[in-house]
Amino acid sequence: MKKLINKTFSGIIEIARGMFTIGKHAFRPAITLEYPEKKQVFNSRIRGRLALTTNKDGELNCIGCMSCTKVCPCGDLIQIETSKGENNKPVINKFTIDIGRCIFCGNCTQVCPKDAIIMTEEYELADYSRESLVFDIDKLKISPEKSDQRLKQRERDN
Amino acid sequence: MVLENTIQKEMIINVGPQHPSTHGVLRLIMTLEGEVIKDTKPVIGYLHRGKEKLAESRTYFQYLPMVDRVDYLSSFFCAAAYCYAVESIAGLKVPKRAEYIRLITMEFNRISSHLLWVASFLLDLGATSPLFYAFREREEIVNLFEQLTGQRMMYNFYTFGGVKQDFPEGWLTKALDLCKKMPKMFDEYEAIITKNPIFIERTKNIGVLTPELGIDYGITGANIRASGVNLDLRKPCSYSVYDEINFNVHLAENGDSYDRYLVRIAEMRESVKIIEHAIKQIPGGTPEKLKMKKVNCNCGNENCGYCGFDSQLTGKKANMVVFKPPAGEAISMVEAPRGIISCYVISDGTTKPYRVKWRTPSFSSVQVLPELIKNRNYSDLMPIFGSLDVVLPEVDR
Repeated sequence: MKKLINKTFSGIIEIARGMFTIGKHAFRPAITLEYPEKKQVFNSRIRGRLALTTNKDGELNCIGCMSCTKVCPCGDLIQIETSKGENNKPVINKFTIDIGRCIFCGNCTQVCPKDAIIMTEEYELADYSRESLVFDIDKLKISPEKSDQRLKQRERDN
Repeated sequence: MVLENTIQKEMIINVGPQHPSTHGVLRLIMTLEGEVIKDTKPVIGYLHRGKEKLAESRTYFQYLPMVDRVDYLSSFFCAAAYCYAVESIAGLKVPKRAEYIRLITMEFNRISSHLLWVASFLLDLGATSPLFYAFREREEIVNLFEQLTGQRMMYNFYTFGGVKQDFPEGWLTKALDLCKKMPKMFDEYEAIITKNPIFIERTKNIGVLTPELGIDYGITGANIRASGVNLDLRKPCSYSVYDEINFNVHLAENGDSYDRYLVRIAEMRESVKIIEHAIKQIPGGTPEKLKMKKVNCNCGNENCGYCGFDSQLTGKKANMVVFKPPAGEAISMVEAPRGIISCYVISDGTTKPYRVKWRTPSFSSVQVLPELIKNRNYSDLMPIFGSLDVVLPEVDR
């Protein structure tokens, strides 16, 4: 009998202690972020959508060395077709990335010798069809100013 | 009477595969007699992704991001196990600074994994507020990982011979601030949970795992430490630099669900201490200081504290496209939050591994479940299964 009373009392005290801790939270600021209206601020290491950088003349930095296709874990996700132009300079005819299958591991950006392929902050990539998620050069290319700023930011942070 | 017949007869029911408290997709075929569980057969394989087979058609570096998905709650540990195995085949030496970075990130990962376990375990028992508290701290840890690696879950941060990047500026200060804050947060959970009479009634003396049974089934990690078996790979230091850090291994005696909870809470507190200690004695100090000193030093001495081998991020840089370790085989063991993860790699001298085999701790934990819940009430299933800390993708791989 005595044991039961003891148990009941200690139980009531412990539950009251727990409820007090929970009650304290009513007076604390909210910890959540109201997402679509407010967005998180990222640093330059964020691994979002892939993009192709351009030089000052607006041409791709890519030289068609195919290193990114060799380290990509998803097989034929990156597809590049090149041909030789004047002065033996490689010309990129086709550069497509299937963003729907990309796992955003960052291997391709790491292996690239010319910083031609980088990752941007963009992460809202939902779309209505799989075909529209296969990005070609026009969709992947970013402007010279933007790529310059992005590369400088990356250099500063690393 | 029809009703009496149904009560006396044995009944076979399915729990899962899409049961909310099976932590993934586990199917349990149960034979019930009334409310008492007579027999259980776990059926696994619903989350099988063929991680071992995938390795055989990919190069070592192509497989590196996939390793994180073996156990998505403790990605750093899986990556570490794979990296240690390949490093010992290829004979790559890891600099001390890289080992310290690995240690700090791994311990943070252990805390975040245990926090998620606390949240889901209490949710299984019907308590919802610990979920929000646990996720509040987990969010801060995950934010730190995001600043360091660029992603919140699949980090792809370790590489053969070290790590990919140094800490960003101010990261260590943020980490120390979090370490100072965290013990108070653990006190909060304990105020709500540890002495709560409902929690004690549901977990004490429930699902007792005796040391003999645990050893027979190959249970590792916090589950076996709760039964009083001192098995922690960090203490004899079979990997990383744990021998330079003072810490204790926490044990409990009874091996019931309550003890498994206590051991995990104690482990989180210990991890905070390990991180604080490691940040204090990391070779090279903070990244800002290291950058400054490196520019001014230029001594070229191997043992220099700022430009020597030990303050580098990777020892010998491996070419990602043509990385080719010599033929051989190696096994590595890492003390993950759920137990010992071991990775066995066979190389035949080409760019692709001949075989990669994973041994994951949750696989053993699922096997011991039928023994623990035999002749118990159905309501004891969740306190027992939840306390074992099973992550199903890790079971199926």
